[in-house]
Amino acid sequence: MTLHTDDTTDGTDALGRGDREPLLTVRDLRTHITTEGDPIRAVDGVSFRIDRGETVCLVGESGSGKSVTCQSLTGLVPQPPAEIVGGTVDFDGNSLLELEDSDLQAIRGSHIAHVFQNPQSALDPVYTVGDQLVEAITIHETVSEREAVDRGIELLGRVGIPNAAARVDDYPHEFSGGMQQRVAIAIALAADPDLLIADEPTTAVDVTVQARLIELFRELIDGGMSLLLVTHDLRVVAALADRVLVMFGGTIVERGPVEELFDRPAHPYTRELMASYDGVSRRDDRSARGAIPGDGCRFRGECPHAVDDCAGGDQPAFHPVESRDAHRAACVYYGPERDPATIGDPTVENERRLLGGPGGESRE
Amino acid sequence: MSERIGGADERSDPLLEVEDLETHFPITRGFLRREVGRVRAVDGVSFRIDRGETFGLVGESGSGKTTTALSALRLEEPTGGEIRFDGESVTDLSGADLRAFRRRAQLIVQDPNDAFNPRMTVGEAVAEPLALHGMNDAERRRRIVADLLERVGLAADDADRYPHEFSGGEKQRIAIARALVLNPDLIVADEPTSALDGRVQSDVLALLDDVRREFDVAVLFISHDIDVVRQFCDRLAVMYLGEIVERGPTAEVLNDPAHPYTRVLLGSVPSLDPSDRELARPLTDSVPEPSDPPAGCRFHPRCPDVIAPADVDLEPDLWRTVAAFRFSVRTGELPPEIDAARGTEDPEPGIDETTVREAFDLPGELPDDRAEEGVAAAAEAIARGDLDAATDTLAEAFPTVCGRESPADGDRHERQVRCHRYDSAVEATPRSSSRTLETDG
Repeated sequence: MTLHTDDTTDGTDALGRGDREPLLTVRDLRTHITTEGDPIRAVDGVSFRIDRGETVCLVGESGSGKSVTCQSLTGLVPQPPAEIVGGTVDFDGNSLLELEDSDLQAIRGSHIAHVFQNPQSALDPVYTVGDQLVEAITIHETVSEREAVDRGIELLGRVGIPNAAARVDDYPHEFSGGMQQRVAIAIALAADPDLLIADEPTTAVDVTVQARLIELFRELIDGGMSLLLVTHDLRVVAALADRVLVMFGGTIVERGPVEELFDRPAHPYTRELMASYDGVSRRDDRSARGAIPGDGCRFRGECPHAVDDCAGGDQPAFHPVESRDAHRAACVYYGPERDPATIGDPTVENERRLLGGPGGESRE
Repeated sequence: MSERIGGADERSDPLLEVEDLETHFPITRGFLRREVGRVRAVDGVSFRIDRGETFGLVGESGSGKTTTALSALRLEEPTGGEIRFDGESVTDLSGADLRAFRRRAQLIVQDPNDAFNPRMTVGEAVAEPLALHGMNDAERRRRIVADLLERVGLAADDADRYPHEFSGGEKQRIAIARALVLNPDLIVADEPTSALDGRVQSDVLALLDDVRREFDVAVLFISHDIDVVRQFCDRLAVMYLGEIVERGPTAEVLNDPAHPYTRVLLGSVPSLDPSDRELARPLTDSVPEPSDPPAGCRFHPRCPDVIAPADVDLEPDLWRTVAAFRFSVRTGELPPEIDAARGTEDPEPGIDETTVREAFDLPGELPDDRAEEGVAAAAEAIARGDLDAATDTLAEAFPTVCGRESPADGDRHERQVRCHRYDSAVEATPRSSSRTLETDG
């Protein structure tokens, strides 16, 4: 157990958030995947918590381990080839990793719901959306068929499907991509979940459709639901997150409230990720990079500021950024021995990014 | 490097000129494949790309941007219009002439996995166009390929490996190398970085930018991603339902979008500033079918700036509410409370005129008598459950020039905007500033 990566020790409680109660607490989660040869440490010591009514975004590039992390929470990750080799997941008093499959399934069906990038994966093409809604509703609730259909229509209306009463008899393929995602969300909401885990839910849809889905998520959050949103899109993060976890190489490298993290991205990786939005920074070496190391700071092979301390042991400890307890970076430059000023000032580039944004960020 | 053609004025040196391009696909039924309709995928599109320029085609799915690009390369057969490449018409080219044109205009596709034959080495794949176009000297091909692979950030001996051994970003580098191998004047890149994310995406974009400068090649860049277009393109055109609605220099269009659709599109992109969470919204969400586009301006049923009838006197915000009412009823995008009431088989669904007005944010009484009359009649019809009658009533009470006449391309500063708001013959002032500028202060 590595306490320094534990969210409960990073001061989030000291932020006046004491009135909120933790819904999900993940400690030192480790999921390894073995296909051929050595296991890949897809998730390697991830800890975080989500409070009731809170939106936490897990952001990173393909292969960072963000999807495997959220699939590990409720046992959705295929085992084998994956294996959850360590950690605890506490959800509302239940230790999820210790539950039997059937109990886990019951929690997935009622308290935790998933939405994926591809809505087709959640929809059965040979049943009408009404059938699928009724099934989802009756799994956890004893209601008559008639009541279940009415509730299904209500759910479709709630997620913004026009003419829901007529469309409840349509098949999934009769809906557009954006509407299919709404149907998938409606089915996920059938159980009135406490936590929605959404993995790249807007990545496959057009930007105007994404805007409506973002608004839908906001409404659901306002209704008290918690959201764990997995995405590579920093704009979606900025639009929805309360708190952000930045993942690289199976580890969280930076965490903090969304405003602080976007205003002062601290970890060199987070800065590179943000710079990729404005095109001002070009990485020197664009050729293929070596494998991500399995110890110490996983980013050190690509980091322009890497020093000897970055290697070895677990990942670097989380240090507060500018003495703010809630905003922390797992980078040696924020430790007592070094000065983060030596790796540059992110606020300058941040200003430039906001000024150069498309339409939306123009400042007069 | 091709010679400059005569006759072009000094300021510009057009490489590709597309005029009134039209690509319709027939919709056929039955054994005899009788044509029952046409998908107007590209419907009167004009643009020009200068030598060495990067030109972006931006739009959402179904806007026709990919069909436009494929038609410009004659990879899709246009049903109308004129395409000129380097001053010469390519509209009717065939055989050897068409092949010669295609050598000078190369395509990069979105998914690098679709681009390669898995049984061919990377070297063979990159050299394939050389062999196809008659370079028989294997040693020379090998040298060219090795040079290009190194140029795109791979190693010369990667030529002997197979596509599956490379990551998505590396495959797209190989695709760039292959596009460059014939030394083209134009590269058409169709969403070349959409399958990539984060830093790999911007790396590939930076590479494309470097090589197009180095090889002095023009790029027609197709993308739905505003961030990518902003980084890459000199000029851009925004497409909606088969038409270009606005085109101009990238910074101009993105910083001060003129067409209402461009505003909605850009306003839908979340800000990178978490304290600015406002998102634009069109009047209605339903995107019409390209086989049956709305009359007049194709965006008008969704347009927040749709022009009010001259004899209706309402404040702009109130007119927008009325217009949203009109078009939501037409598309069936009803507020949940009205929608739910319609769904029950209860003969008296319990909605009345007041419920309808409240659901659509309409005031109890409109200050304009004519408008009030139309709204009241429509609300009453909806309460009765007769949506068709309400739709007709509203169409009659609130006709708009936007639904009657197709707008022409109007000039505004350095750009062309296809919107009646910029048409001097129509009495409607352009909105002074965009949503974002208004709210940011």
